[in-house]
Amino acid sequence: MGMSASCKIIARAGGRSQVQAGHHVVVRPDWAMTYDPQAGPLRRRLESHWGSASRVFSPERLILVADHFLDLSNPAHLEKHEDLDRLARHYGIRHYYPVGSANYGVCHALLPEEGLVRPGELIAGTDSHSSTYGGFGALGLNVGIDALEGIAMFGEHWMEVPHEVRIEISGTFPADVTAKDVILKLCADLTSDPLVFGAALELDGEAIQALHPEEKLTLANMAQELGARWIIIPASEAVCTWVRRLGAGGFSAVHPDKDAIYQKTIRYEAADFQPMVALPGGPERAVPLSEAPSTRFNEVFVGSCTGAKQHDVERVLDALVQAGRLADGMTLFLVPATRKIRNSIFENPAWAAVAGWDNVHVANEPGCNACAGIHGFIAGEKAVRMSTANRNYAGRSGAAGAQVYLGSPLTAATVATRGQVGQ
Amino acid sequence: MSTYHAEGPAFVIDGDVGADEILHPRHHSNANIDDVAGHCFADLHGGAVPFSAGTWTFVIATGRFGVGLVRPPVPAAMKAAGIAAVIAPSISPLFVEHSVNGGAVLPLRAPLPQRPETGAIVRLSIANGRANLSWNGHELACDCNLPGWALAGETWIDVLRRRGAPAHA
Repeated sequence: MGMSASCKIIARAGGRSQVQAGHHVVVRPDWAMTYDPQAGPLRRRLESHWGSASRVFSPERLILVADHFLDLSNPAHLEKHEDLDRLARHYGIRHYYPVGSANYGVCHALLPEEGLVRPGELIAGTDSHSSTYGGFGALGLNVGIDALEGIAMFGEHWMEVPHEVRIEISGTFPADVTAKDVILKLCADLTSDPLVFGAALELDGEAIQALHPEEKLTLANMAQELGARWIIIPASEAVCTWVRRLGAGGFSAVHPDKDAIYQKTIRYEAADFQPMVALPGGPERAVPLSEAPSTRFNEVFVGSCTGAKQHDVERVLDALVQAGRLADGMTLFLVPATRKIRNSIFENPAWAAVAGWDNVHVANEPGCNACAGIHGFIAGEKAVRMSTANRNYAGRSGAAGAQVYLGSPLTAATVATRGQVGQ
Repeated sequence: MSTYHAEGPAFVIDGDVGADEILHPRHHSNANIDDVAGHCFADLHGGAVPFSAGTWTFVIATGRFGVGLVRPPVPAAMKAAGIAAVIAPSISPLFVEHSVNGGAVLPLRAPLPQRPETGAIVRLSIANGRANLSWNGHELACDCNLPGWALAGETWIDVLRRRGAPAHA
């Protein structure tokens, strides 16, 4: 019986020749990632259950990242970094990315940049956007901290194979359509589909495969917002080449068999997609930009693993260079997802000039910042903000009264220079 | 052990149940489990449906259970509130994984042909991969392939600890 890309990865990780929906499998993830919010709880669990003298199963396969609590003048934030540091040093974790290291930042942008996301591999992460890795043909699995304890000590994780839905998009996307527009439309169309709920989504088709590798990460990033368990995009040769150029090798991309079984296949024509904007309240409230109610914005936030990767930031800054100025009354907040991306802004004279404009604020620290509503460029009560992030539920990015819309980096750049959507 | 039995009153919820309705994210970091139990289902359908911890053995939903972002405290809160099992035609796989891994509530996917009323006494028995539900003269049998250690209320870490300390440790 044929298998989907997800089932092939799970079968390999579980040491089985075949798996299908409904099976319970004990898998051995290729990588496991946790970050500053969970470092303390993980360290305490490991010490109390296994003793302070214990060692983890495979220190070279654990990844620790600092990206959420980055206000180091706040003792509560600092404590999390101390926990992360203790974890890394005690267990000899090699892939450790604290604040101030050569490269650090938002985990789901950092891991791909560091060559740690490889086609065909299974990566367990204690963050709800771990599905991002599916953009490179890996299986990005969101797990809890108790599950990570099992992976840390034994390298094993119990999981249920979800049912599968395949989405095929054929043709060519219009020039002004980006991955964020695609995923917002899918959120609008499919969040209430009972079969998409909890499904492993396989996203494929010529239009998808023609996208830039980092655009594929954007697509896979928002699986949770769609209600899916994860999204995987079978890795094209272009993605494999991209990943090899990042220094990763020794991987084996997987592709679905022609007779793989899906509970449902949903087909789209790429020409039917257009730029989208999610109205305040959730990504599922996305509407075509051309139909959005006329709205005047006073802020634009370009940040997060969804919308501040290198490719995203380049598009925003190129558009701003071309426009020459911000709209009146506009403030632009730019939070590059990693240190490398931040450095690239200031190494490019045209981009550095934009960063120096009045009312343009570039975050000192690459991280989640206001996307998680923890610190940084938090939206105030009077904010009407266009954001490249992945969630805009009330209070998510700051004050409960802030009106936060979601859009692509291109839409964000347009709003930054025009000041509005609609007539 | 691969058998399970529970009996008690059911709290029945119409329609979908969001993860935030089971336990609001503002309580996810609360280490006081008794306090967390008191917040379980407090935001259900805008707070319109009263739920009191310690009263119910089962939660039955008629729609999708666990819509949205489920974190481990979500099923843990239900267990702390005295719930033994949740029954719904569709349950978030992330809820299932967190709940089973963490030894919280037993998740049973079952399409109920008749909707019980809140307060109905439900009996659930599981043996040999089959679940039998009964209430008010109605009966339902369906597959249940949860592992034996989950039926025994163990966590995945309990299973691993029974192996003893790993050789590398």
